[in-house]
Amino acid sequence: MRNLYKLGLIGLLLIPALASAHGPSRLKVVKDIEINASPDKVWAVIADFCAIQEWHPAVEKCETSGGTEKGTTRVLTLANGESFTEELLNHDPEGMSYGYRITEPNHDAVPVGTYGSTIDVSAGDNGGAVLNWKGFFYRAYPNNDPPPELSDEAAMDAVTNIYDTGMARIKELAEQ
Amino acid sequence: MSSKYVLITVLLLGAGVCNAEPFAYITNQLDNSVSVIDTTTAEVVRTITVGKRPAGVAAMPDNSRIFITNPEDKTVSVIDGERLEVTDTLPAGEGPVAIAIHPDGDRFYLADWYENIVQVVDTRTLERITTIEVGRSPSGLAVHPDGHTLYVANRDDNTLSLIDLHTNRVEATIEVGTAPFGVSVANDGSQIYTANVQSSDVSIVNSREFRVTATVAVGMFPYASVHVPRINRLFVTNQRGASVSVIDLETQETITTIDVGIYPEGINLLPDGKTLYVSNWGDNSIAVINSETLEVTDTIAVGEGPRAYGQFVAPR
Repeated sequence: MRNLYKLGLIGLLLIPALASAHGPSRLKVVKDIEINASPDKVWAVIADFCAIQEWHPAVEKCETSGGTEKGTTRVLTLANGESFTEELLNHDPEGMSYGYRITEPNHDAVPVGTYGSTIDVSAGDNGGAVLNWKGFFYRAYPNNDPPPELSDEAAMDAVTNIYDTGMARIKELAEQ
Repeated sequence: MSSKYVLITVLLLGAGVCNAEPFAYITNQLDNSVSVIDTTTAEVVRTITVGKRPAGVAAMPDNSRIFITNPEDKTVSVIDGERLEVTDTLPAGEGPVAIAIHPDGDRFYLADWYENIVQVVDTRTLERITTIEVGRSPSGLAVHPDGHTLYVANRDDNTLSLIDLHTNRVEATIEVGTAPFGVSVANDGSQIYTANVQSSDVSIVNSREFRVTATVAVGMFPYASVHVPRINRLFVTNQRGASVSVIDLETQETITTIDVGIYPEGINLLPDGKTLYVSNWGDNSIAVINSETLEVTDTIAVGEGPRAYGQFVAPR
């Protein structure tokens, strides 16, 4: 159990340079949602790295280098036309989780600097599933006294909103 | 029967001399508070609101006052150890993170991450006595137990500086590993240890000669360390390793690694000489480790993002 738990975290723990920015404090968002569908069914919704264009309301388009190998990239384009690039750090179909990081941040898309994330499906009650999505990140502004749009609060709000809306949609799709 | 009675009396007297049960003051970086743990029961007895994004902590040896650095609003919160309330909030430069108290308890040292200085502050009047220029991004502080010397890790210079506390001047600076962060000193003062974040190792420095005598590989992104004199081992938190590395200081090798929570940061030894507290930033908990059996024996829930960077247990 402990080892399985740790495996799911590898993505987060391998984020390069995440601890390099001191000054600003590292932030986190951790979200769980119960889904009335089997873990397999939930995993099927999110397993593909570019499936996010199907399940996330804010993502207009996803372009990927393909596959589920470490280093696989995806470029996400949002409704406002802003885009940013993410890279897969690990992909574990048996453990139903993957970890990834932003390699090319775009503060106009999501106001974060260094950002790493893990998304994970596990068994819930009564044959259902629990989806867990967590992100560890720094605000976009690396120094003291950030402008409001690049502050800790802006980063927390943005990531929280992305997770809430994305997870609600995953639940909808899996429960259909 | 009578010997048992005597033993109990001695224990009671001992407890009286120590003033109180040891408390642990855990800075919860993401909810701007300090969790106070009674280490005899392993329970949080109070949660105190402090400044923004509290990180560093330095408890007076007698538990009378606890100083907390708040990097985001650039202040130091002063907690009264009897009342468990914030009694003062001091302006603290541009980037207060690391903080340490002189063994005599009369002054504290505050490293400023952005201004590359160490402030020397009177713990009673709370007035600044002087300012010492150090290297770039000073990140870790430790005072030699004899009270004559302060060590400063300069993260962006990959160096460790030695400050003479009589003159308040940097007397020597040496290279250590890459991006040194936490600094600790052996109980007998013979060695200094720097946790080098980017080279994932620990530099062991002979304090008399002030030179690196060994470099020991540990887990990924080591952050802070503490010496356990009874077994002469060094315990090192590895942020990205989600673990604590155990270095045997006789052989100067990592002998084992203990799994803890996500992003372990601060680490302290309790006054029993055996029990370690490790803050798990990612899991909002304290891992309790038995340093002799090398097992996590308990987990204590605290606030969001516990950092506990510094001496967070008092009385020592």
